[in-house]
Amino acid sequence: MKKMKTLMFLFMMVALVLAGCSSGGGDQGSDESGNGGGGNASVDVNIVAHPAYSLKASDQKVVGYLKNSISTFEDKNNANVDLTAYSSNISEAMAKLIEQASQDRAPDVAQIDAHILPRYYDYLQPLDPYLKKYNISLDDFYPFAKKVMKGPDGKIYGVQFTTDVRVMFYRKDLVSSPPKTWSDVLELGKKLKKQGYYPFLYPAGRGEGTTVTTILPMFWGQGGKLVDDQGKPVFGKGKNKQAMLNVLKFLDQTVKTGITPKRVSTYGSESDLNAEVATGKVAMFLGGNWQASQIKHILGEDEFKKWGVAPIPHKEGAEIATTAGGWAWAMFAKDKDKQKTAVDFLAQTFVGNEGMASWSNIGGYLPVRKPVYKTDEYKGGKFTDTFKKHLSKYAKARPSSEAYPEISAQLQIAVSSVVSESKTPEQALADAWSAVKAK
Amino acid sequence: MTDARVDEVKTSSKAQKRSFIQVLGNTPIPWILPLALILICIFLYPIIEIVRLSFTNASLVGDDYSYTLSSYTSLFTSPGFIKMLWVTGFFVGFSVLFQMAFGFVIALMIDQGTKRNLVGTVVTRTAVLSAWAIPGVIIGIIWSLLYSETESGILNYFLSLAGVTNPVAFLSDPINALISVTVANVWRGTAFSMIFVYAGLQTFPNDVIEAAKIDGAGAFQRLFKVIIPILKPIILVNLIVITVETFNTFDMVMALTGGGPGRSTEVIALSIYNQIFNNFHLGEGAAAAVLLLVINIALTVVYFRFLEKGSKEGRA
Amino acid sequence: MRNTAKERFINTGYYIGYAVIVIFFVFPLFWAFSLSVKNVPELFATPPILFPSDPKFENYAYVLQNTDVLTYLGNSFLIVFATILFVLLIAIPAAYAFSRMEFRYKGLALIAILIFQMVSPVVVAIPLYRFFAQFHLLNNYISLIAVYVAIGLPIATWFLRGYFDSIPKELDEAAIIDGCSRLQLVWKVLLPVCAPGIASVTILVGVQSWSQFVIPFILLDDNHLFPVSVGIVNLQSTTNAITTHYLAAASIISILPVIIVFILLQRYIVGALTSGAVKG
Repeated sequence: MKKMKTLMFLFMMVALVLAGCSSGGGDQGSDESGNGGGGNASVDVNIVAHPAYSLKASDQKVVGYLKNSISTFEDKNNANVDLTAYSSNISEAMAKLIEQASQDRAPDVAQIDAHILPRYYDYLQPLDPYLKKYNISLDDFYPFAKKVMKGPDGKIYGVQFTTDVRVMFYRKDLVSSPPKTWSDVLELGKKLKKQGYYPFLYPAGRGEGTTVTTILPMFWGQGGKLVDDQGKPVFGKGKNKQAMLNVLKFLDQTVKTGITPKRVSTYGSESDLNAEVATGKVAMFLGGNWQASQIKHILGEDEFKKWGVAPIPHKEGAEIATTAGGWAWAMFAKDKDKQKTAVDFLAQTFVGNEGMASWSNIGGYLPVRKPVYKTDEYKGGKFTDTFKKHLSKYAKARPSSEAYPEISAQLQIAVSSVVSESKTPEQALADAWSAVKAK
Repeated sequence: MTDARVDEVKTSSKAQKRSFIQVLGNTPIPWILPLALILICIFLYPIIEIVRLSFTNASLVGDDYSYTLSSYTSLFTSPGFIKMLWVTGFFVGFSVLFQMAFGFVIALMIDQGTKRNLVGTVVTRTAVLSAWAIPGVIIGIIWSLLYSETESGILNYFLSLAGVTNPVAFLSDPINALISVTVANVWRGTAFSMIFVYAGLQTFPNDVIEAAKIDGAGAFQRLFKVIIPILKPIILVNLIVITVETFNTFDMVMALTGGGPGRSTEVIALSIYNQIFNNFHLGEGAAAAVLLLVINIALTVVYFRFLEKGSKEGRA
Repeated sequence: MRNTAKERFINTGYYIGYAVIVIFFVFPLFWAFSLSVKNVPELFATPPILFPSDPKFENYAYVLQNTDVLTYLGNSFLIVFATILFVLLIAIPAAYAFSRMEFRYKGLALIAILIFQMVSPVVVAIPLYRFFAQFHLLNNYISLIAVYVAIGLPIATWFLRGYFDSIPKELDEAAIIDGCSRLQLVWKVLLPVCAPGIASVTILVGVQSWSQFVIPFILLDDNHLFPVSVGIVNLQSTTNAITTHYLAAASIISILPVIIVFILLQRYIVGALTSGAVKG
């Protein structure tokens, strides 16, 4: 008996260690559970989404809408929709998804950051036949979305279902006509500063908000390019270098003249600025369209009435430009039943006229298909027309290049270094360029 | 386990009839095998693997790579490398210095207070210890709320009450940010040093201090001539443990500044994480990890030298 | 008698010192609490409000209903409990062997364990991430806890070995003469004597595992499995609303259980840590 005890003890410990170290397989074994043959068998679709777009969202309205939509869909169709979320580190989640796809273990449908959709083309299934049924065509979409959705063979390899856009918010009672150029900003800013306001704020910390809201609009307006046609970084060369340097020099000036407080170098996301806006001392700031409803919530209806939106100021002689982001659904499943069921669900919930309108209302997103704005369901805000104009005329998506995440990270470091006055614009750009090129 | 059974074993062991299991049980193998297996799988294998990866240009995404030294060359020549070492050095150096100093002073104060039957020692001790039990990321979040630079920021409000007119850029000025991060880390780590020193003080032969008092030694003399020399071994062990711990930490920094502004608070462990999981440069991140590993091992060797020396002195 | 005035003066000095220390260590937590019971205008009020006149405890209800903080807490407890259990199961026999048996390479093995103790978790996490990903062991508590156990083992083994060393060998010999096997010896004789050491290890490994961040951050990506440390970061990065007060409330909820444990058990914790630290 004693021997048995000893043996059991050791055996258990060894088993434990082995279980931890090497046991492969396990429960994840069969992902091809749906036997495509059966006609009336229920179809299982698994969809993996951004956490804020899934049942894990922190916003109860989102969760309620999704739950409701899933149950309605499952009642009508013989289907099982499993909507889960990937990790909150989005860039990592995106990278993992490519890895999974290359090993053929991607989920049936995944939500992908729209601008990098082209990197997934090889693993995606075209959606054209299913979208026709809903009268959805490429021409419904804004130009930047069309560009990423259309694969090299002309087929639709993903459907963008939300978008967002960056603008300048300004206080109408303080700013009679919004500044169009950088020198207008500096000039007006000095006056506002004397009156005790924080004239001009923008995200300048280490976060994607800095790249898309602060850098890219001002950089693109001068015709600058981050990468060439092959996706190789070129922002540190020739004309692009000059354009980027101009942006950094302008930001440097905003801090040096005191129209921008240094602390913006801790704000990596547009929404980080909300706390500043709440103090009532901000006159102008660069931000995303979704902040309109956030500010309304923070300040209340009356204060919110004072705010207006305008294009992001550009360099003298350059053009208005801005960044549009957004998310797309992409199909990895090869099974036709799954494809059809999945698109039916996506159309009902996110992509069809009604679905996109309701989803945009709930999440505060902008519809990416033009017809949706005309539907009765879509309730825009008071800035919707300006946002629409930005989307159709000024907006571009970020490059899909694999080098982009690194470029963006290095440019954030550059901006945050310049704004916190730890580097000169020249030095910050040189460092960013050599860090990117070293790879 | 019945008595009869025990008796049986007694007789059989007297008769020196040892079964295989018993023989095995008397060798160290079954006793340390589980430990060895788990440490080999979860420490040794990854260490070998990270060294191997550091000589490749592997990416976190995708399986293709080739062997090269470029990870190391690009690590050592990258513009931020020297600065990262400075940042890490500052963070570790000052964190350790102040954690030790505060831990020592607090432990001494609590020990003396207990001897003087003061109330409040328990509350103080618990307050310090609580900080130790909070996960680093939550500490980072809580301190980022304190350091808020807007007009609703609490620390700046206190400073303005104290007559500081310009709000302090706690996190947006590169130097301040590094100091702020270090302060938060001292807040977090002081408890550990306090426990170490406090434990040392509990073993203190009380008559030593009394004898010193009778000899007419002043408080400072007692501190430097009696208390510190006796606590020296404990202080040194503590020093090495928290130095390593601070080198390895990044959760608090990540939640507090994310390494910014610029890269002014990007300590080595955070830089490894960023390289690999945000930029996907597995090879280069691995090279930085190897550098951290070398620092870890070097400190261990110092520690071990010291332990050996200590035990020899103890025996002598 | 002339000393009483001086003593009183010194005592006052101590009390001031205690007050400063307590304020320095408690104020950050107090401020987080204060933020957690404010509404949006109060959050951004200037000058800041220390004590909101009408505390909004409904923020807590909101956080409990709308986030997974409770799940994260439950996960943390489960992981920490399992880790402590397995660390003790593996470290006690090993520490016994290192204390009582002589064998080749013992010194080397001890140095190796010490080195492992010093290795940064981020260093081991990267290869493990690749390894686990390959064998579908990500998002798996067995593999996760194995890593936690490995991280807790070196310190536990060293600590307990030191503790065993401090127990006179005569105790073993007496037990062996009584006919105890080694397993019985450890279980029935040494363990009761080592209880304070085991308590210290439990606390050390418990605190270490509770705060562990890198390992779960890298090896888990399923929200349902996150421990509090990772779950809170997840909440922090949610930017689609004003969340400062909710974030503060979630932070308070997630540190409250441990703080309560520390306050209730602080006498034992300090006792165990000090007696353990000295012998270990």
